Amino acid sequence: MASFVKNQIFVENLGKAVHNFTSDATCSVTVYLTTNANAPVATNETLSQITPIAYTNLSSRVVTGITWEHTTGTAHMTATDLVLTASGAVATFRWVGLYDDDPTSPADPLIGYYDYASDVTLANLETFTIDFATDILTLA
Amino acid sequence: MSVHALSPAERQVYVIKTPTFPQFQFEWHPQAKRVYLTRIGSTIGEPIGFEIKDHGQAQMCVFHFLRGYRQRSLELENPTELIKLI
Repeated sequence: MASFVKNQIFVENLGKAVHNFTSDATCSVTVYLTTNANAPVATNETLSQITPIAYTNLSSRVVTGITWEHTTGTAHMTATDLVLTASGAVATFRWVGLYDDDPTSPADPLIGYYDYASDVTLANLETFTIDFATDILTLA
Repeated sequence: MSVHALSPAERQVYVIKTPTFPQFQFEWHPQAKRVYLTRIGSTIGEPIGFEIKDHGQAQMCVFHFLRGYRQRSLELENPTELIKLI
């Protein structure tokens, strides 16, 4: 089952103002993809610790429509579904992760990841939609 | 404090979106381990995948269906190619 796992460092980074999820203009939440052999773990902190697939033939991985607002004390991080489009064969992946490309110290801090539990392979012209549903995450 | 994210596993039915094929809606039902296709204008889902145990398998099931659909569409658009094959 694809389940979201937050990187442990994310909660520390929130308290140290590493992220600013006000809007797309203040952050660059980006998707990374890895094989099962290079699966991320919750203790990973930055993108430098991740071995992604080659992104040849893949469209932009930047998530748009980022918002971070609260409702009765619970913060909701939301975004527009990201549609990845293949313009040729794309390397097989299984894990889909999120990081913020904006911060420089630490650089590219990780947010969390999903395990699709089986390999996914995109052929030319195929699209893979990362559906963030109602929220990417909530903070209560 | 708790950080919580809704995952596909927490939804009883997961919609697999295919924006380039708006005429189709695909759903993965994790408990039934099936992928269903509902054509636009219909309210009845057709099972197209069985024993689909995880999200990755559901995604690939949809890809395989669409690859066949695209191939058949190309053949119908280019019948001369079909004749050549026959």
